[in-house]
Amino acid sequence: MRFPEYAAWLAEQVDSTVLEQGCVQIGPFATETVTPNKPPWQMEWTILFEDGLYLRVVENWYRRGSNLGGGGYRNAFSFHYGPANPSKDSEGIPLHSEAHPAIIRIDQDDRIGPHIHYGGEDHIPQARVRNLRISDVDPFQFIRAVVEHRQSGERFDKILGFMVTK
Amino acid sequence: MPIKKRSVPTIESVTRQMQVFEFRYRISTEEFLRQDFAECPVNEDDAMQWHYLREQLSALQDAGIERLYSAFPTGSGARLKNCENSSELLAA
Repeated sequence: MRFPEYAAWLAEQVDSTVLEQGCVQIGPFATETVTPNKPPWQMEWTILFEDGLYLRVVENWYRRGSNLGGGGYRNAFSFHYGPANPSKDSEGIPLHSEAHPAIIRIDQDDRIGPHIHYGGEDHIPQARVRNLRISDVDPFQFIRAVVEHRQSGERFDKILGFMVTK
Repeated sequence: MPIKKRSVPTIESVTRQMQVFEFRYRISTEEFLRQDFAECPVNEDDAMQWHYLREQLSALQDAGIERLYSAFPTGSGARLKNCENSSELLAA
């Protein structure tokens, strides 16, 4: 993926996202590191809702070797929705806190690969999650699921269509 | 809603941010890379950000080398590649 292509997709998705009134947004940011339009870049968007819940999506895109076609690939991401820690950083983003566990969090990271936090259980690996390929989830699929959940009260596993096995 | 950009990072600013994480968890870069987080629970947001900072640092360092390469005649690359920092490069 090239940054201009990503930025165009991001702008289109952001424009089509309808959020409830009264929420506070920090971002969306999409920032390259060294050279305009080249990886690595990071995308982040935090949305604080009036009822004390928040969502935050972060994607980290790394450099792909030129022998693999160059551009960037999504190495890690974190999509979080849950109660906001009242303690916030200088930008107003809630600080990570075990006292405020996520309602749902979908992650892919360098440490344990793709996994989810859901139903009060942490680090549920892909092997236990059916009908959802975690590494393919995009931030707007997650944001739309949060919007739908907040409107309908429907469970996230129903909205996203996954099942957690024992 | 327009997409915003953060300020452009530098080697110094990225290094400083990595050091903040390393200080917070009392572990070195090497330990951070090896860390299985079982004994020292690094929170997932910080761990992911630390790895991204490492990727940024690598990209910034590579870009610095490329810029300095262009200032030297062709053929000096192999010697310059062994230098560890920009002051050595400039002195080479």
